Amino acid sequence: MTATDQPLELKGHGLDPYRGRAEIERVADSLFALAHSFFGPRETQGDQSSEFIRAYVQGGIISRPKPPPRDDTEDIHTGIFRMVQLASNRRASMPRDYIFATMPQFPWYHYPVKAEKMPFSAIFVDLHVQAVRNGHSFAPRITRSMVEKDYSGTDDEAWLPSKEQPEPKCLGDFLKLLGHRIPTEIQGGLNPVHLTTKVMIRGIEDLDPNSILELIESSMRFSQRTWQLAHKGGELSKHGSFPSTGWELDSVDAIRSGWLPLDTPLNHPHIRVIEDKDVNETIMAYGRFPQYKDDQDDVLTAILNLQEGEESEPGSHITLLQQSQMVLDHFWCGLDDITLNRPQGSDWRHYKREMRGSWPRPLLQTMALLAALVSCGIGLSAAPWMRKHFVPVCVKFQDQDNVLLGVLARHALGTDLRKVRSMWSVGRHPQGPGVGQDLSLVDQGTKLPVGILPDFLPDMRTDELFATRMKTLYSGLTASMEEDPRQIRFSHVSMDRVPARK
Amino acid sequence: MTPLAHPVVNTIKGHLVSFARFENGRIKLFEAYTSELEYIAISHVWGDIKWRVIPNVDRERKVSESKANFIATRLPALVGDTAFWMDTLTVDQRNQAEVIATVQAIPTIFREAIRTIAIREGPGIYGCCSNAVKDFKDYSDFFEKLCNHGDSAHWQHKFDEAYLQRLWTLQECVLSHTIEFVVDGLSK
Repeated sequence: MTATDQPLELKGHGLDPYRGRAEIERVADSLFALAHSFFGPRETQGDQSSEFIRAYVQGGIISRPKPPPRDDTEDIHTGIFRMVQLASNRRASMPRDYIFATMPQFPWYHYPVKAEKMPFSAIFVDLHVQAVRNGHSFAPRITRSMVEKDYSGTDDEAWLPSKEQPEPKCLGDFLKLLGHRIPTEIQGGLNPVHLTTKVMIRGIEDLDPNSILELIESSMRFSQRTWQLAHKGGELSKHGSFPSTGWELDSVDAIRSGWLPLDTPLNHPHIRVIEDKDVNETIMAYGRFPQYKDDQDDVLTAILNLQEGEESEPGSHITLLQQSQMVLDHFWCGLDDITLNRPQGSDWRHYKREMRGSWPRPLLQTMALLAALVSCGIGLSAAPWMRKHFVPVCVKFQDQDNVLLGVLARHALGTDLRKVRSMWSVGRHPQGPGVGQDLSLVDQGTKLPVGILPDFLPDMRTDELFATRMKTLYSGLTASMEEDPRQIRFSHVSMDRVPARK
Repeated sequence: MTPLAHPVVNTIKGHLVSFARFENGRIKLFEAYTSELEYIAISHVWGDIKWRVIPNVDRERKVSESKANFIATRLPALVGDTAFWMDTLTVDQRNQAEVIATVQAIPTIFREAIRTIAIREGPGIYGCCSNAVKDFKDYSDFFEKLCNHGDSAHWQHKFDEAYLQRLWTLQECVLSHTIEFVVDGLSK
């Protein structure tokens, strides 16, 4: 059944030539994901998913054998649901609904008494308790010692979900908070939390614009599948991907975001001479180049809020967060050797050239934070919450040429962000589908998790990628199988066997 | 521990839930166990809701204007005299405890229904889009036809298919075995 319809005007992005196509792709992807979710992993062959889509679009009936009720062996990680929906932008009215819509189908889960009075964080922690009790433990991405400034619990409790969690704004956000399932039995009875390798980290606050852009590009290229999903699912592309070079940071927006304007002569129009070493050019830029200080501690917590804002309309102010997302999406789409989007590649290179010498520092730092969140598999809607508790950092693995972006707890920063520090990369899945994923930064002195790292392996990977990435991730702990160099084994070093460094 | 108030769970009969049925053009509510009744489950997007009176319903309900019209004018023909479950009608939205208690019953409600009616609405896949993709062969063909049509006809238009943007509608589809998709024509 079709209906008469009145197409509505698109608001606010008539000048964005890429946004319309991105929205259509998002709808098509969501429909495909729904068909997959309905028919399940094996049965979704071409004809069945096509019939589902036809019934949806043209009005009709679609059927399958009645699925049996879920049993005690099943959870949200069973089947392909998590993989298919990890980039889902499906929303619920209340944060608790992400748990209440997905978990009651499993007989081992019961919503808590007085649930209507409980915040999302408490319901999430309760979910973890029930999951562990019933053999469905999962690896929460944000753990207690990452958020609690003066953490005083046990080493094991440090890996439990933090009692403060960012409230998800879509299904993808929620699924990302869960991490992968932790099997009830690990071979040999070993502690699944294990050392992978040593890494070097450093803050990014003092990096020049080109260095930050290189860092972001490195992270995009390393985690291509994650970035592709962030774009296609709408998380990155929701505000469009055609930012204006004339955008200026609103001072109220800046203060709310934890950036205090400095009163300097640079606030007034002047000519600036910049040397772009990458292309060996000297350029001149004219305008105002306001300076800001990252001073979150001085800003009242009540008003500290990266303003996401409503969907942009003509004439409305584009917030720092919106502009950051737009630039990042433009950046990602502009990597045309990956995305094959030649027009946008050309537009992106033009945009970068126009912005030389005039990148506002808050914009670059926010872009770096968002890029770290995408790469580390944290939903972008958590950005305001993450800004309060974490900072983006450069991470260098041994045997890895590129530097990646991770996030480090603010309370673990130390006094000098420019100083390179040594930390451990720690995994939580020595086997199974989570291998190379859900990685954490661990302080060598306390042995407590204090940060989050990007996944080293996507859900779907080749043997070659597996071998290459695992050799880097478990640097010093791997050996290749003689029969097939793509097959490797690595030594499992449980964290409880690793001595704390004094 | 406070026992669950409503709905009641019986391990043999299933969940005791409020259902609705049209009688003489008006909606009547009654309780029954999910396993003892043949009923239709309604899956829909709430939209822009407020408390309002619906012509064929006794009390105020929290619904959008388009949904209120749909309930008054199209729902009777879709369900006939078969019992049905629709959250906006059969769950007391003013009682938060009942709203939360119902979440435990939703998997059973949609699994045991004889069919689910899924109501699409919002500025998304329009009638012209449906015609443009009519004879698609597979998903790739569908995708290409939709994008080509969208690029030429809708590059300035909103494309928000609301049914594909809400979490509950995903779960309701995944729990169902038979889904009938209908379009809320008054808003599309």
